[in-house]
Amino acid sequence: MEILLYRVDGRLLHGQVVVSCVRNYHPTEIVVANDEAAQDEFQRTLLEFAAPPNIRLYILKVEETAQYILEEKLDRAIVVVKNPQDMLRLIEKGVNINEVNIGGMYHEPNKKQYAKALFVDDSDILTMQKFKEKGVRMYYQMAFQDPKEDVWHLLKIRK
Amino acid sequence: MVNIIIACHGDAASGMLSAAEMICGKQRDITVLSLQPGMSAEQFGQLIKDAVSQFGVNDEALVITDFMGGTPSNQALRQLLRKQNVEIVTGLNLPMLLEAIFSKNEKTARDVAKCCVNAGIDGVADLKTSVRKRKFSINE
Repeated sequence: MEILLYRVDGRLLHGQVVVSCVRNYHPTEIVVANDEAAQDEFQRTLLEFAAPPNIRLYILKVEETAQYILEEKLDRAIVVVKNPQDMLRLIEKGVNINEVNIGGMYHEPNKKQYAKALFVDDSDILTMQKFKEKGVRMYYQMAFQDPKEDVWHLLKIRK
Repeated sequence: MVNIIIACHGDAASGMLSAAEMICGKQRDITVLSLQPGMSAEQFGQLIKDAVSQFGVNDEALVITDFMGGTPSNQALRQLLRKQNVEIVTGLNLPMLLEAIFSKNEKTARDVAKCCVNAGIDGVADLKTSVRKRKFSINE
């Protein structure tokens, strides 16, 4: 089992993931790890429709995703979560993550913008600090061929 | 490696490229040719000729135009019909351009052209009908 990419993307499945990530990583599966989507039939339909054919799509709750990974039930997968908090939940459930791709954190009230798709509030910063404490690296990269950027550099917080 | 030239009316080419770059990142080796309102057909033909002449004699290129019968397509045919190593495809849409971007380093110009046509066609759909069809087959 190989998890090819752990990505934070507020839009879950969309062009950058479905076209760019898939074409470059060649996964056999995409896992959308999101509690809400897993339980909402309408969202599931839309996600299933966005996914490329020939790639197995899993829409699971965050906790189920952790189980799938720990039990090595996947083949070559890309895992997408909506926000850094859900990524942290995976890590806290015992999933070994070396590197997180911050692919898109979009506009929300009270969030400040630090890059095209990097809108961040205090809760996000706290979460990212926990990544740091646990030795999980982070990089900002929207589309696969964009340069990888250092998130802390973008946030201009020196720690 | 196949060099890509997008040749369209107005800002269609640069617009489509900016959309593609949102999805696959900044691209090199893609030339944008834009037919402006005042331009003559010959002027545009010269732009195409110049764009293609920047490549080496053995380099391959693919020209993607907006639609059949328009000046960009007509001039592309005029300049390039007999030119080896250059293919021309029309009916630019985003799936087609994305296909060109992903195939250009791995295939010959002829194959990229074929894939672009298929991708362009496959990219056109009546969404609600497609969702209903897919839903139906998922629930079976």
